[in-house]
Amino acid sequence: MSAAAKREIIRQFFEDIWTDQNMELADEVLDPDFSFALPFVTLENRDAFKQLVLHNHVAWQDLTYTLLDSVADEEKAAAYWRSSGTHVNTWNGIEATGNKMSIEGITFFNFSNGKLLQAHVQNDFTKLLHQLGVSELPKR
Amino acid sequence: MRTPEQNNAIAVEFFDTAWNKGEIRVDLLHPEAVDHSAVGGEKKTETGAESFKKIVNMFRSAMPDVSLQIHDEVYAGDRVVHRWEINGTDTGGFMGLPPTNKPLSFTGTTIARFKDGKIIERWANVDELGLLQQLGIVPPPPNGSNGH
Repeated sequence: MSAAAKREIIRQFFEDIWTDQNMELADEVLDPDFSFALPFVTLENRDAFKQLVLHNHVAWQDLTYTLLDSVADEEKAAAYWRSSGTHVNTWNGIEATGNKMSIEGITFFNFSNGKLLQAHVQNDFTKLLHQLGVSELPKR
Repeated sequence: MRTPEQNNAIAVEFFDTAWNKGEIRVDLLHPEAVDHSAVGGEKKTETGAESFKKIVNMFRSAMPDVSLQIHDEVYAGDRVVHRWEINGTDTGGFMGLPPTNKPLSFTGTTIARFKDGKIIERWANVDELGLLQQLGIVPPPPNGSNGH
């Protein structure tokens, strides 16, 4: 699988799956055992990930992922992205604030047989909490 | 123009030397190097080596036994991306706090852009929240947390 084909799958992952909730495409490009690892939790399969996408679209209105940069070689890929939306329903135990969020992150992807098998995500979680008014974080 | 493999070798050398030996190899940085960091929810863009030096010094004074492990690498064109983990013991204290003497571990991802065989731009994303939780500064995530 070429690096260019990988970058196209990464584009689809953010724009078509995360932003547009295209679950048929998710079934096509994600391995059934696709794992989605955040620093504090790992979703172990494709179905759990699809639930997360749908769940986050309930919590966030106009949830949009923008691909800012991507890098791919013959085996792996990484992406730098921005996510934005408006907090309209309870998320992570935080009741709707109506606040807008916009954060950036970097995700590292591994492939197997042309499908996405693993994503390791780092995002500006502390910035997101600030944007929701969770204020007990230390300010510099 | 270096190959992506050569750029990656330079990135490994730069980050390994910085974190594991405390030495910032300014000779591997481009004179116009730009550093993007996000600390305390604030995004900063600074030029030169000072901002990265400050970050490394802050962690190395809090955790003198700090070590960096690179778990995964991808490189193509003028970009190198590393997924990494930092481990160390908080014997020096973070941000003016007394040391907890606890072992700490957190993950991150870094993108480096190269020009003429030197790092000209760096973006990093770090599990800062996880670190703050381990330090006891913020409570652990609520049950059923499914992130974002």
